Amino acid sequence: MIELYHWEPVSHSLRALICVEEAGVEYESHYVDLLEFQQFGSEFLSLNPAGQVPVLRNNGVAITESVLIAEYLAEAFPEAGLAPTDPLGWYEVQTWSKFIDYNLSSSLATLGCNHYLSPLIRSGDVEAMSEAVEAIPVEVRRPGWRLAITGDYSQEILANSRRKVSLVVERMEKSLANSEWLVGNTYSIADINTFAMIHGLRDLATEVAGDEVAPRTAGWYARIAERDAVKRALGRTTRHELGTVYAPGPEHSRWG
Amino acid sequence: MPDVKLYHWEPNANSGKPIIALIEKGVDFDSHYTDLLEFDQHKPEYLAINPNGTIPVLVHGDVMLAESTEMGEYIDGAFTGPALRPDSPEERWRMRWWGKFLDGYFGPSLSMIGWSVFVGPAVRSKDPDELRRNIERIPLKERRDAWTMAIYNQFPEKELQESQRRVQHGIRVMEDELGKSTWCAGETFSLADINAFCMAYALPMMQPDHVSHEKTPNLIDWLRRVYDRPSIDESFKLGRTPMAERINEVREIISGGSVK
Repeated sequence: MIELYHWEPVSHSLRALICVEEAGVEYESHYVDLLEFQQFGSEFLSLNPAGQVPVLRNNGVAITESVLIAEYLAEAFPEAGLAPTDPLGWYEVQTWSKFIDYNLSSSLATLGCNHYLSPLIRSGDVEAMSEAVEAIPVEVRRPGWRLAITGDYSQEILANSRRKVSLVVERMEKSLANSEWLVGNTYSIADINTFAMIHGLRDLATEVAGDEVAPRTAGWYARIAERDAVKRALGRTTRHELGTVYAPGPEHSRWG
Repeated sequence: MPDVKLYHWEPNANSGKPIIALIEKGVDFDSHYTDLLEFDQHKPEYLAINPNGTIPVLVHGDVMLAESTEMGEYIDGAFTGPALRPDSPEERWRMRWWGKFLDGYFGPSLSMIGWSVFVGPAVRSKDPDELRRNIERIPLKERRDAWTMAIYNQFPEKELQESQRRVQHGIRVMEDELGKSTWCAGETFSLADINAFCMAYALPMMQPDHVSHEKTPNLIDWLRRVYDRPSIDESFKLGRTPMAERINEVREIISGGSVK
């Protein structure tokens, strides 16, 4: 049976949850509590040494990286029709997902941690948290958590995050002028990968991603939100109210 | 006349990926050398083809593709010839994991170092007004920032050190991964090998303290296997800078005295 290791239904975990639900496969859900640092425990690290969720386990292989999980499920379960199979359609889905990852994943993490995670951490035992962060075995994950503790998000990085969100929304508005879906004329993992990020950004970057500035995006969002699979994925909230908790994500690109 | 055109710079890094893929696949194509050091990719005639002003670009009939990693999957799917992707979804995931690692982690760090020692110095002596005008017409902000750093040598020391650290870490990751199978994604040659080769082909020469028979036997053996493929010689014929001479030097390093 397929096993999915995930956190709350936000960003990367939400992508994988929607994809397994849309694929219509039975799966065993394993909740990994990122605020308890379960992703840095030896058991989880043996599954993914990068210390990141989601991870999908199938046929004895641990599939990592949310975009690659989506592509894996699309190819492993072709009858679900999660992606076009012609070379150009597949290229467009892949490059759209890359564009979203490049511009939205780091931006959502920055805005979400600034607004929700950092105040949450700072209202608790900061000293204990600092000790736990310095003890994270995956060194590359420490800076993101350190930043959440200090809450020292510069105006520059916040503005750059909004700029990137705005860039994506502009392109979405253009694509959605000609089609109900982002790539071609069918719902695909390109829509899922984008939805999982826009879901939080409507709240965190309303001025560039809200209904008023992005009406076509709002319609597209509503079409996806009413799908049964998406409702089931969003219903997987465990310890936090939907969309009120984020974890440090991928860094912003250092070299264009 | 082939209906495939490839706009590329030197047969390495991003330009190398579609060149090698097309040759491996046996696809006849028109090569359009686009000189990065002459800013060909920011000229109006090129921007008419690719408004983002990035290299490489593959034009197939009326289709224009500008993302080099995903271009490989298109080439494999659109043309007949030997498969460049494994059959199983698990091995395909592993192939794409390499793509993500190379594009998101290893490549940018290696590229920053390469631009600081090669691209920057190569263009810095040009007319300052011309350089300024060139920066102004670069469409993407990220590329504008990168060219500004390279032209005016504004690489922060801390960033260069971080890149060097990541390159060394990336080398260890590659060495571990290449210990698991003959080729990057498994027992068949794939796009992952092409992409990794385009980044790693000169490492034994550029990073001799970290890549050698003693330190990274898996990486050296794998490099030798890729260098032995006829497509590599073919691809380097499309180069115009002294980079091609470096290839012979690397071949000498990796052929001599294996410890295995």
